[in-house]
Parts: sequence; structure tokens; C-alpha cells
Amino acid sequence: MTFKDWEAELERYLDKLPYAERRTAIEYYREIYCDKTDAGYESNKILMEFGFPKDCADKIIADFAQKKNTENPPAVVEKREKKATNPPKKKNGKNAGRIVGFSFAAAGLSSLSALMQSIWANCATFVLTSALGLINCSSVPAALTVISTALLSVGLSSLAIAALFGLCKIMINVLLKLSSKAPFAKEDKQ
Amino acid sequence: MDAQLKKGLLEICVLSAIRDEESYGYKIISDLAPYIEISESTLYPILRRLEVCGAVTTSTVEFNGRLRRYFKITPTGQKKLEEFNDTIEQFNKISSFITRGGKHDL
Repeated sequence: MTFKDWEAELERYLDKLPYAERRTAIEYYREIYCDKTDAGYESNKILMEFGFPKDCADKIIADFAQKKNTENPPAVVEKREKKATNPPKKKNGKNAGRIVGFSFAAAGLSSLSALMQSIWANCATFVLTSALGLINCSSVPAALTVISTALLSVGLSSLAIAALFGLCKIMINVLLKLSSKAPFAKEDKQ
Repeated sequence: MDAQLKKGLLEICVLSAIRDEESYGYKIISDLAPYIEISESTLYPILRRLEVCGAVTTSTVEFNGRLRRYFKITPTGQKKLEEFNDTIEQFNKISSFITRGGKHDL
């Protein structure tokens, strides 16, 4: 193999590189080949020392790829960092939002339910007491007293049940949040 | 020698070879050959890397009817050499520690 052949083969393997990069590499080997020839080395020995064109091309291409990577690291690294750190945070944020939302919804529903129960119980008490003749409907103060007592007792018990239900819901949510947070803390440590 | 260690050392060796005066590919290899094994295919990526990171600049000079590329060290390259001098001091201490079998200096 002559140097011309060696050079042509190298150029073929460097085909994927930009023209300027390819020329710089070929000119480098050509210059060293000429310098070594001037120093008295035989062509075969020089080519043997150069090695296979493919091996030389692989080194050049690998270095070029590495150079390309180091030229554009911030975007890649930033993207990777975001990928690595953000999802857990986002997940935690979403979970916290859901927990607060559910808690408010539960409290609202419980209050509404308590109100409905108290109205229903009030009406039922009034109808029952009227039917049993316990109160005289013509006696307005007596009817109001019964109604007020019934409303107060049923309302208070309903509110107590609602508050208990809301508290249970919040506690369950807090426990769920804590149990889902634990793995992220472990990941951070790693 | 460890490949990564050698890679780092070769960069410093190349910078040292052109510290006092600019030089070209074949001469750099000839200057380094007695001290560290280096081939043409190894030198080329190193020179390209140093050029890209601004540690060396290049100029093409005509010689015997052909072109020869000269490499000259830049202030960035000089700084790299100075940094290596600090590193080598630490390395000497570590080397001495290893040689004593992990025992402190008496």
C-alpha cells in the first residue's frame, strides 16, 4: 500500500466528518509522512506506525464527537438535571394540591350534609310532635321551643360527625403524603 | 499506565514541548518519544483538543515546497502548565505516602 492509498482510505472512513475537519486530519498525516520521509524513514515503516486507516479514523471521529458534546453541554446537562430533579418535586406539589383540594371538598360536602340533615330533622320533629299532639300548633312559643331544641341538637351532632369525617380524611391524606414522600428522600440521599 | 492518566499527561507533555518555541507534529513526537510513548494517531486528537480549548494556536508555514503546521502555546496553555505544577506537588506527596505503605512521614 502506498501513502496515496492509505490517505484515500482514511478519507473514505472520515466521510461523515465536516470537510474542514477531514482536510485538517489528512493534511496532518501528509505532513508527518513527508517529515518522516525526509528524516529517512521508509514508506512501509511509516504506514505501519500510522496503523490502519480505520483505526486512525475511529480516533479522529471519537474525538470529534467528544468535542461536539463538550461544545453543547449546558442544554443537555440542564435537561438531564431537570429530568432527574423536577418530576419528584412536581409530583409532590401535585400531591399536596390534591390533598388540600380533597380536604376542602370533604369539609364543604360535610357542612352541606350537616345543613341538609338539620333541616330534615327539624321538619320531621315538627311533624311528629304535631301529629302526636305533644305540642299545640296554635301555641307558637311552644312550637318554636321544640323546633329550636331539635335544630340545635341535630345540627350540633351533624356538625360533630362532619368534623370527625373531615379530620379522618385529612389524616388519611397526610399519611398518604408521608408514605409517598419517603422514597424521594431516599433517592436524594443516593 | 492508566489510559486516562496518560491522556492527561500527554496533553501536558505536548504543551511542555511547545512551551519555549513553536513546533510541528513530527518534532513534537520526536521530542516526547524518549519520555512517553506517543504515536501519530494519538498526537492528532490531542493537538486538536488543545487547539479547540484555546491552549494552542496554529500557523501554516511553507517548508521545502510543502506546508507545515506549527503549534504555539497561548496564555491559556501556559496556565494549564502552571496548574499542572501545583497538581504534581500534590501528586508527589501522594506518591510518597503510597511508597511508605500508607504510613505518615516521620
